[in-house]
Amino acid sequence: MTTIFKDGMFQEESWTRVEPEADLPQNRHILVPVATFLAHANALKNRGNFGVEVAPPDKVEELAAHLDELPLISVVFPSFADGRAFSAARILREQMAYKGDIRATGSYILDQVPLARRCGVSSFEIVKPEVLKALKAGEWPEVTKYLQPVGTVHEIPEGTRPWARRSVRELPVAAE
Amino acid sequence: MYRYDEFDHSFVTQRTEQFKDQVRRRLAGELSEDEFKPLRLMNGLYLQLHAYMLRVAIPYGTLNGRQMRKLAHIARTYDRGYGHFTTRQNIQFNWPKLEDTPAILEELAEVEMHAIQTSGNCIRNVTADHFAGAAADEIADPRPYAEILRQWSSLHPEFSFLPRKFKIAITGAPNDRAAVQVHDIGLQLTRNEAGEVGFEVFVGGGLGRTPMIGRKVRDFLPEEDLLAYSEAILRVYNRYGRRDNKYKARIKILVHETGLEELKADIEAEFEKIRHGVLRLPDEEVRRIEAYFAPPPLEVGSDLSADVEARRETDAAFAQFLAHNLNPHRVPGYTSVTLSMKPIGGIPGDASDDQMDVIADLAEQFGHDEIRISHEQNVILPHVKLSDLPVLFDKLVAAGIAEGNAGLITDIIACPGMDYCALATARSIPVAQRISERFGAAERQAEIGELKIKISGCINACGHHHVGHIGILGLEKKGEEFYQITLGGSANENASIGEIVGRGFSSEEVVDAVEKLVDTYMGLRTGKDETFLEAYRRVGDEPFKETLYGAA
Repeated sequence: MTTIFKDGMFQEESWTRVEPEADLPQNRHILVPVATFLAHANALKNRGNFGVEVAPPDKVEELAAHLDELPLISVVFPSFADGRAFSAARILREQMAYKGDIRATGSYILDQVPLARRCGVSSFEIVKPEVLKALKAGEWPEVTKYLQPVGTVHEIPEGTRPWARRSVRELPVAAE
Repeated sequence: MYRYDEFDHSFVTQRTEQFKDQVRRRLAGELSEDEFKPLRLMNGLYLQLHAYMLRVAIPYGTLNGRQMRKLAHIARTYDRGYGHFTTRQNIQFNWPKLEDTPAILEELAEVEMHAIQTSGNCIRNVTADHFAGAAADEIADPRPYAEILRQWSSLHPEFSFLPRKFKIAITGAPNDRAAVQVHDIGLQLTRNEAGEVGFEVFVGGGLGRTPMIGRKVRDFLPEEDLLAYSEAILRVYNRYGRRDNKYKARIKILVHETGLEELKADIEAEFEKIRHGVLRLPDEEVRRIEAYFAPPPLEVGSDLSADVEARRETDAAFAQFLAHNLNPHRVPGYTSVTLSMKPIGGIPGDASDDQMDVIADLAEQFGHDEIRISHEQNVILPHVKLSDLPVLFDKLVAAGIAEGNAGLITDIIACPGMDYCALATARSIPVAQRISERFGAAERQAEIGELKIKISGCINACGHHHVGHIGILGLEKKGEEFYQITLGGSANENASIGEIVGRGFSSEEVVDAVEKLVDTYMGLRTGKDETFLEAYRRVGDEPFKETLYGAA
């Protein structure tokens, strides 16, 4: 079981990651690589209970024809220093109009959670215990004023400046 | 200059609080040093050889007296009484304590300053021509665009974990003083046939281990597309830039390995998808930002007075200062004055707390409260009345920042080198000091003319040696420092990467080697108006090789 953080709630879910080339196990929720999905798209859609995992250097554009039938796309941070998942999420939301769940997974750190949310990530598979602890304690280390618009989540225009926005959450950082 | 509104104040205050919390988590052990590293770097905090180093942003090198006084205060209170101006027009403090850094950032926020994105694998401080808004040769002031880019890139959610750092420079004059062709993105302001302002765009320039001149991807990018096009470049880079080897992770390598035409097509395809979106620059917003940079009211003045001319005849140091440290101003009767942070035998770019206070006073008294930091590590007062020059000069002399050497052989760029830096393989500062002393005589420098020496203490090239007319790279072999010399580099509109002239020199030999090169140039130049770089480009490296290593 792994903890998923979504819409401010924590829930336990069980997902089995399917290795490339491996058989698809029955009766379980599975996450499959992009290549596996493309090779078995129809079988998977009939089967249900699956998500596609986009790991760099996968291109999200390859999923374009299937988006309506994909309830879950997971974007991978191979390490916290690898920011490709941010672009993957934004492209899915802003350019491909994907409406399903985008889930961050991998080695991201707490400070990347608010950034990922702005890029369109809607749920988080939490691997690091300190991230779970901080999120459960209500920490949300974010500057809630934004200087660049994104087309992923609703943000409130601030004043007359064309790109000044503030968070709908307006969750303050520690001292404000 | 740009002034914060309530929104900006809140932004920087929140960022300071966020960093304070990151420091707390690090000190409490909730963040490992590995995890803290990218967070502190994104706020300009490095761990150096002996201590932490805090790099404070000076956006496009522009600041006022109040801000300079605050930097002096920080140097005095939290450091050892000095700061170091950098080649990104920033300032760094070499000895702050980790636990003091939140307090320093709070003090900076009081004067609308911060350390956001002065390091880390993100978009760094956008640099611009240090004579912006004043230079006679300017097409348009680059600072409003630099400010627009600064805002857009600040805490960008998508581009804060790029493959590697990302540097943008912009110049508004055809004579490029901002080195745009050795930046990840270089922007050259230009006008099209209809008279509209836009940009020539270069991508993939850079120094470091693999120096490259930027490749032109656009002859004319309309003003309104500045952000959308920049976002397209950054997205392509974030997705496809190499992450397997940090030394091959800059966008220049992506340009080189992908090929210019293919990469250009990728950028244009991405741009097509977003150009009509929310990033399109509204004209009124550009004009609103531009208004912050409106020139001060300057009454057209007269040329140098007879008094000043008379003093020039009798005062050699003053004459030297007038000859080298003034840049033509667009308003008659005014000039932009370079205050040299390169005293003979001194440390390039260092300024004491007292000097910073003096600069603040002089800017308020003589310079419409405007100060610039140049990427050549000097300080500029951009709007000075010609008739104020004698009294200004006397005050600069008293403060030790009146050397009339701007653009001359002792106006050396040097990185901090092994005296401070954990990456360095050799010292840079002592070599700069010895070269400065060797050529320090005023008449000799003036006779040699324009000659840019740039020194780096390792192959990361922070001292820009690749684009020095004479470049010096400090390396280490079997525990000994040695110095490799390159010739013919340049970072202006005719940018070029210097060529290695031959085997390196020991620390003892390197100054003699530079002197031989200079003497050779003096012997073969067609006249005083042929600079070292022009002569080198005319004759090639043979005469210089011969003087260093004997006939082949």
